[in-house]
Amino acid sequence: MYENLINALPAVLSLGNLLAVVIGVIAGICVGALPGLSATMAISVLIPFTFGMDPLVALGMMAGIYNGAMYGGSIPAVLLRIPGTPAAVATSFDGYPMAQQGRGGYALQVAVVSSSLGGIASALVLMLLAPPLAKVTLLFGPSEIFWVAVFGMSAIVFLLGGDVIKGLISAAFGVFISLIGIDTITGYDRYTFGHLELLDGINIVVLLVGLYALPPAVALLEEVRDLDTANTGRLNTTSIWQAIPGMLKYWKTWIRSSVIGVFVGILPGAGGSMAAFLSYNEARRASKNPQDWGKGEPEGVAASETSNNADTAAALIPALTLGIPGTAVAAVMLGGLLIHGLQPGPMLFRDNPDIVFGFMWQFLFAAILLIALGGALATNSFAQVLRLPRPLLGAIILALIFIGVYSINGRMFDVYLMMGFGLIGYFMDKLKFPLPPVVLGLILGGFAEQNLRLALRIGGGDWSILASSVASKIIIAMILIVVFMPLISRGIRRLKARPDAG
Amino acid sequence: MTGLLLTPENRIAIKLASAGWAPSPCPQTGKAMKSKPTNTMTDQPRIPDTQPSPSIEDATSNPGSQTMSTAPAKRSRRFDPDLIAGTVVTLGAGALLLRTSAMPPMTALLPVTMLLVLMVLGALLIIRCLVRLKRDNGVHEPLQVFTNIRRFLGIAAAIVVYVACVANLGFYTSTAVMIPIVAWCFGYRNVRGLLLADVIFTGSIAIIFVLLMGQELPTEFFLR
Repeated sequence: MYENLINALPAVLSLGNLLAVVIGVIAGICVGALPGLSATMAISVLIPFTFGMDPLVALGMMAGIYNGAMYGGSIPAVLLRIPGTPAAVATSFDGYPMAQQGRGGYALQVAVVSSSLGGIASALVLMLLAPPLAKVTLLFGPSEIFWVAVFGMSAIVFLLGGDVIKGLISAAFGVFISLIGIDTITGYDRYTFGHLELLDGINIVVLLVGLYALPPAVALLEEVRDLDTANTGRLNTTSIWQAIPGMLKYWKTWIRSSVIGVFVGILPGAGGSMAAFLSYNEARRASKNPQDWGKGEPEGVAASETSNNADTAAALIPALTLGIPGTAVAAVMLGGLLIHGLQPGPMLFRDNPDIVFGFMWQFLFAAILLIALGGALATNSFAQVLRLPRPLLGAIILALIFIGVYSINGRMFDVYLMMGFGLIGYFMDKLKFPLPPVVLGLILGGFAEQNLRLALRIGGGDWSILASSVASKIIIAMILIVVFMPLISRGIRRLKARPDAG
Repeated sequence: MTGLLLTPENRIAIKLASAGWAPSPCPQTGKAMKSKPTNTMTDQPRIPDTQPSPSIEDATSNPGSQTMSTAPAKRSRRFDPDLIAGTVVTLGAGALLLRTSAMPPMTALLPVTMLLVLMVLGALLIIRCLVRLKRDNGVHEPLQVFTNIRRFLGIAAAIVVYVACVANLGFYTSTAVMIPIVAWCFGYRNVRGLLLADVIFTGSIAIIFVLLMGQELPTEFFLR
């Protein structure tokens, strides 16, 4: 089962692939360090630039950006108390007080080492769990795959939290977008409005860039903000290799937070911020000095950063094996795979083992490289990224977005479409409509429809075929649990609260 | 493992964090960030260090943005953003549903299902909003869509003009002009920095796309 994993290693060790990971990590740290920009946005902008590249090189860059950005988010969280990425919120609780005490450099070193260890744990779990899971899912037929797609969408809507109605609207909108274009079975064109460019459907990159890259670029120009970067000048950083022995006392926190991060990462819809909060709270509970937490306790930084990086590769387990991305970044990564003609799901492991296992190795190398690049070489330098003027960055990102989208097919139509999605994404973001379900809907909508129709054909139009197998019944039960769990738990909480109130 | 994750303490931690709780407020001495008084397009409030850390939800929707505030008090119900969103979703889905009548049954299956779902959800959004408005007697805090509508319109116009220019004048010319103008208009006033960034960025893109990748971007008007 794991021989493919070993066979993929030599290709990953080639200079081009390693260089791609290095560039990805550096770019990811820079992007993560800039408040308002995220790994999702960076990968969305990057994907179109990777068309001409070897898939493994492109995926290496994405893996590097993902890992780098998760650590990069801690830089402004520690120095400015402004989390660069959502997952770095918990890092600011103790990181910022440390920076105020003149220990900002040490806080960043703890963050980078913890991030690296979390990333390594996550990559190892991905390597160990994904292949057997892919083997099991190879046994699935069209009805099971249809239900898996429905499960993926339900999970991201109901487990993401927030407003369920808005989440469902987002998911339905995404599915509807996936239906635009020619119906491959009947040849009927749906919602193309006479535009030949829409016959092939909407390219996922156009949607991703519109939803995830344009609104942050607008936000950079919209908000007048001058960050006080005084803390970046007084990091008091020593060599990270001298600092590491002093951090070994956090080993229990590293292990605990890695387990939490991996577990949360595998759950669809959860994500790095939930992992970081849970991990921070568990570490605080287990601490001998909980009263010091929030006042500059390095273990708090370690807990939060370990788990938000342990979430990264783990989030790709359902994405690679089932084609269900649990988080927005995983959805964007799936978009990257699709662009290179790689259909996520169990067949990916059978048809392209070199690429999928190479990708896993790249995650591991990116996590290891974090210490060298983020810690030993340039923590001071990366902190200077915060000094970049935001309006200039916004203007540059606008140009990059244009290049990226235009390059897909070399036509302006995609750019206009992207602007439309950008406008929709902007308002959705402001009105608190979650964006990940839209992407998931686009990825899974067509997939679900194709398998639903295939299942119905096999069953001669009999709808009961959808629930005929044991696997289908189990997946349907899981969907019902995911949908009704929030209602049940709310009811239980109310029942518990009643005697207390009485 | 599940027990570990879903302990009451964890739930409380997440709820507290969602409500903007940080374990301990930071000392009031240092400055986390400051508004830029020189630029008067939007003067955003200084955020004191005692302000709680951003919530999970806020950070997830817009990391790094601590300046989104909810608009105070009474708004006309006609302009409640959720009400408008619900109406747009319902009407939009209804209009698209009309186009499914000519489709073959299997082709129309999922579009009809999704559009009906969207109409129902849009209607639910409207009903929820109206119930809330009635319950609160028209006084509630709607989501604030724009931090500064003039600035947003300026950005939207800049993007539209840039795209139109790229289509008509060519990519490199439009980009070389757009970057300094947009950055200048939206607050970065260092001429030397602007020109340097412009030359480096546009030059790098030209080197990468023309020399290294051979990728064509919209041709310059003087080369057509």
